[in-house]
Amino acid sequence: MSDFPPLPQEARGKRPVFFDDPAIDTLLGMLLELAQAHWVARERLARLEHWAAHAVTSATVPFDDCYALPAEAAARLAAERDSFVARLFAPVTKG
Amino acid sequence: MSRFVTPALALSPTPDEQAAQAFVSSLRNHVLNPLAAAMKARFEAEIAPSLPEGATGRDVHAAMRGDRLFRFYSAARVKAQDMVWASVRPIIDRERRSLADRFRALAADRTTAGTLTLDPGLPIPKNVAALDVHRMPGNYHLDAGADDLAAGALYENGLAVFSFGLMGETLDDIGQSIALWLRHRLPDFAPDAVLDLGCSVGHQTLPWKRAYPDARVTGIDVAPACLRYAHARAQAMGVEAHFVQADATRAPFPDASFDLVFSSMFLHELPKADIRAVFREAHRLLRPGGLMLHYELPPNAKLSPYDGFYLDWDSDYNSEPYYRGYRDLVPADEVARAGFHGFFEASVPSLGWYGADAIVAAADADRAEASDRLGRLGDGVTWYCYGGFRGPAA
Repeated sequence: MSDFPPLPQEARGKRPVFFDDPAIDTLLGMLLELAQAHWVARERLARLEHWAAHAVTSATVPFDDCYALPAEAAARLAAERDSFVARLFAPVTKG
Repeated sequence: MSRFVTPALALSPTPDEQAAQAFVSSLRNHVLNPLAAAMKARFEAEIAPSLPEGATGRDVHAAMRGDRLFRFYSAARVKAQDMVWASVRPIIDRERRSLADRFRALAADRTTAGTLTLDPGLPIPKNVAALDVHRMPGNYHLDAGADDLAAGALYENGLAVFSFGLMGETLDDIGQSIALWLRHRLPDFAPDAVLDLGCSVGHQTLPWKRAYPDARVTGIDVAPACLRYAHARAQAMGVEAHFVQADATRAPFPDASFDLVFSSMFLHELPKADIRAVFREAHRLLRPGGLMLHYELPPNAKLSPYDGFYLDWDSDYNSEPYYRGYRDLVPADEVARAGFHGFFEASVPSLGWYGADAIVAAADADRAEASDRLGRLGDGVTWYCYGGFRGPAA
C-alpha cells in the first residue's frame, strides 16, 4: 500500500470525437478495452497451458506470477498478438 | 513492459498487467504503421487529386476529416494514448512508496558526483501547469513532494509502452544518435559544459556525458518529480549528471557558462514567445564559439502537405497546442534572430534502427533529407536536428 494520494485517472481537456455519431467513438473505445481484456486472458491461458504441458510433470514449479514462458514461446505469442490486432482492424482497411 | 525502464526503478507489473501493456504497444504499432500507411494510400488515391495546387497541411486536414479511415485511425490513436497511461498508472499507485524509498537510497549513494537541486518556489509555467500534455494525467509537473517520483515513473514507463521499442533499449535513442552524429560532424568540438533544456527524466541528457566524459553535464526542467527520477536514474546508471529545477527561459546560470546547449522534444511544448526567449537565453549562456543544438519535429516547410498534416495530428487531438505553431516557424530564421550564425540542420538516422555506420555517413553528408520518416515515430524513423553557433565575444 502507498501513503501517497492516488494519481489522477483522466487527462484534463476535452476528449476528441471523430465520428458524426459520438457513440461510434465510444463503441470503438469499448471494443479496444474488451480486446485488451481478451488478450490478457489469452496470455494467462498460454502460460497455464505451457505450465500444464511442461512443468506440472515435475511438480516442482508452481503456477504463479513468476511462471513465465520461455523466450521462443513468448515470441510466438507476441506474433499472435500483433496478428490479433491486425485482424481487429482488417475490416477498416479493407472496407 | 519493464524491458526499456531503468532496472533500479522498474516497477513489478503482474503478468496480466504486462500482457495489458504489450497489447497497447501492439495497438500503437498497428495504428502508427499499417493503419497510417493505409490512410496515406487512401489520401493519395482518392483525396489528393481533388486538392488545389498549393494545398497546405491544414487543407489536407480539412479534406481528411470526413474520411472513414482518418476517423478510425484517430479514434484508435486517442484511445491507445489513454490506454498507455492506464496500463502503468495503477502499478505506480501501488509502488509509489517503494519508488520514493528507492529514490532516497540512490540519492544517498555517492557512486557518482551527480547532484539534484530543486527550487520549490519556482513558478510552473502556464504551458505546463494548464495542460496534460499528450493526455498524460497530471502532466510532468505533478508532485506530492518528499521523494515522490510518480510523474517521472509515469513518463518513463508510459514511454516504454508508447514507443514500442523505437526509442532504444534505454529510451535514449535520440540523445545517443545525435551525440554520435555530432562527434563525427564536429570532431574537434570538445565541450567542457553541456546543458540540456527541458530534460524531464534525463533520457537524452546522459548520452552527452557518455559522448564527452570530461564535460560537466547539466539538465534543467520545471518538474520536480521528473528531476528526482532523472537524478535517481543517473545514479543507478553510474553516470554523473547535475539536475536543476529551473525554467529554460531564465536559467540560473552565469553568462557564457556552457559550450553546448541542447534540447530534445522541448521547443514544441512552448508558445512562440517562450521559444524565442529560450533561444536568447541559450545565446547568453553559451561561450563564444559554443553550439546551440535542438532535436525537434521537422518544420512544415520541410515536409509535404500530407506529412505536415500527419505530424500536426498531435496539435489538434493530443493536447499539444503549441506543436503546429512551432512547426510553422522557420528554424534558420529563429536561430539567426537570436544572434547565432552558421545555421545547420540534419536528419540523423536512428541508432537503433539503422546502426552507427549510417550515422557516420549522415554526419559526412551534412544535410537534412526530407522524407516521411523524418521525426515520425514509426518504422525507419530519422531524427531532425538543427542549430547554430555563438559568435566570438564583441
